[in-house]
Amino acid sequence: MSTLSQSFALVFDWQILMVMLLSGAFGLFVGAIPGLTATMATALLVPITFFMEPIAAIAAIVTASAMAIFSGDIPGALLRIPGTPASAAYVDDSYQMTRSGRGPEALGALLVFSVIGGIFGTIVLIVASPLLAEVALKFSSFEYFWLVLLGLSAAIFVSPGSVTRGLVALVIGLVAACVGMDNPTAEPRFTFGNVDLLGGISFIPAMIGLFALAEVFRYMVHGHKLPPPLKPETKGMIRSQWAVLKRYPKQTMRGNITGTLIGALPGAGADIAAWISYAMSKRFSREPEKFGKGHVEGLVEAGASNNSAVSGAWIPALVFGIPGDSITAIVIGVLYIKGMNPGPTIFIEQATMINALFIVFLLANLLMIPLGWIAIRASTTILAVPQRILMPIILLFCIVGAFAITNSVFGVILMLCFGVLGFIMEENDIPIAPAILGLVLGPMLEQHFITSMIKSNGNLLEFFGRPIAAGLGIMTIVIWCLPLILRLFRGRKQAMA
Amino acid sequence: MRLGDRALGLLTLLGGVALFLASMQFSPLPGQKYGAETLPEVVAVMAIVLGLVMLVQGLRHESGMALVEITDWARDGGTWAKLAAATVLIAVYCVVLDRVGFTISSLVLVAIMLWLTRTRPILILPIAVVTVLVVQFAFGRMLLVPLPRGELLSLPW
Repeated sequence: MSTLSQSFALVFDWQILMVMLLSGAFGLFVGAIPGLTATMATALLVPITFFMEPIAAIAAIVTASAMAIFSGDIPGALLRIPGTPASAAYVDDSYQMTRSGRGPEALGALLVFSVIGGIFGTIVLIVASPLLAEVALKFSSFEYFWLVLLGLSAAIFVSPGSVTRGLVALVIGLVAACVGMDNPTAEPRFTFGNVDLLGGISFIPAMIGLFALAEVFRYMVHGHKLPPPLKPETKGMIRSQWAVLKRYPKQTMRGNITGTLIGALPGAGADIAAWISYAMSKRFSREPEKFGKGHVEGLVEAGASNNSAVSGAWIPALVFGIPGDSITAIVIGVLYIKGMNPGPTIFIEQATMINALFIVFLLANLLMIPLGWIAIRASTTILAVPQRILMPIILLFCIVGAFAITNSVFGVILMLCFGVLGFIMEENDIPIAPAILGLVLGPMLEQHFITSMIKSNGNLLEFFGRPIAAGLGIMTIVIWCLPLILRLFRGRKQAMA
Repeated sequence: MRLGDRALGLLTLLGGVALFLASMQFSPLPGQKYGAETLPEVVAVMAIVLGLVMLVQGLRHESGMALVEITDWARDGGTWAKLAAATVLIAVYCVVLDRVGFTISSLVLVAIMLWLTRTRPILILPIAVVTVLVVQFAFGRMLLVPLPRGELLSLPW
């Protein structure tokens, strides 16, 4: 039996399909509740995936995250409150459209172009990953060192808000990554005599704390009382999108490409992709004055963009083990646990699993049409679930999830510490994504640096001794100098004016 | 409550200095210049430089402003109390979990959290009981997570 037919057999198993249906419903529910994000859905799902077969675990995460990114659009269209940050860019347009009786067009566009974006991103993932992997096979520790550093640098400069606060987040993540014995001399670092810390900071409880528990704390402080939603209309919702696609083919393609590329950048995920695509759509539109007042063009481009970013983020995660966004940061941990170590050799050693993963991606995006339609129909009920009841239940899920990872209270303590940290960080406009990348990539950075130094007998110039390494190194240094270059450029322009 | 650049810069600077001092105890690999101390020392230097930059930025742009900006919720003592109660509740839960067991401690935790989020009193107990039982069945029975039974259940009764 060929690899591909084996992969099809793996995915088209009733248990996997059932897992996809259930996790899809879970993702749609979490995404539709304002305040609960796709990353939170993934973090809460991980403890359950522990007990699944590898492909079922990945299918659950892929389906839940793709569905959550789409369903974040639903409260945006009905309440003017985005369900996830990825839907915030075009919330005014979708809400105004629903208010003015164009609900089916708005909701249909959000659903159909999410599917188109997701499928486009998946096709790029299928085509680009093996090609990139072939290049990556030639990489040594020098190239990997620069690649990790490039990823960390991109995460700082792409993340919204101040660069200095992004760097504070990175420092926090790197400090957390230093904890434990997993270092070149196996000395216990910053363990304070605690045996549980010898193994380092367990990543999943930390993520549950940063994304889910911090949200519970935020609810305790800010509270969210939702206004009554508009009634969703679904008549002709899908059918009307053919005309929209014919009217905006360029915008659709631009959203797809932008989303995939931004998704593939470490640290930048669906939310940033949506904002950039919406801005691009407005910038190149013939009717920019209509944006924000109920115009479908921005929805098409940004809606396609955020879902293609979900797939795009998997490219560096699979090929290099470098997460493209916070969701893939969690996924990398799951891949290791399931014996699917990310890296270029995964395409040779685990070809069946990788093909199965691609099939799961395509299937999850196709499933989005029926499940998304049901979610839109049921949205009034979903949005009626009171958050005051939901939050304590989420807290218990966080606790059990963190406990299940370590099978001890230590996981819960870790989750509590990171939950408090996440709350403080968000209150102080310190982004979470660079901290997560620091935590995930810190050990990799250290390992590749030390290996390179042993190979070159401590000669730092060797980092520029190979052509690809030198290229990556120069790119990284240019990114570091970019703010300075931009400032000089602006200063000269002002002086000339 | 939001720390300004000066306050956050100072904290980052102090953290960096502490990290550098703590990293000095680690040793390099035998025969090499680098080892366990390299990453923490680099991060510490990064934190020190970053802290200094933020301090300078803050002194330039935040003159006349408070070190810490008090946001809306931070002016309300009740919100602080609720936040502290939730944090302490989870911390106490961690302490008693092994002794009291998952069922009872989770029941108390969910019930108090529901009370803190102002759920109608009549609903608190039913919701807490159903939630804990469902979670216990799903994780404890189906997924075989060894949730602590607690010493109380081991007593003669």
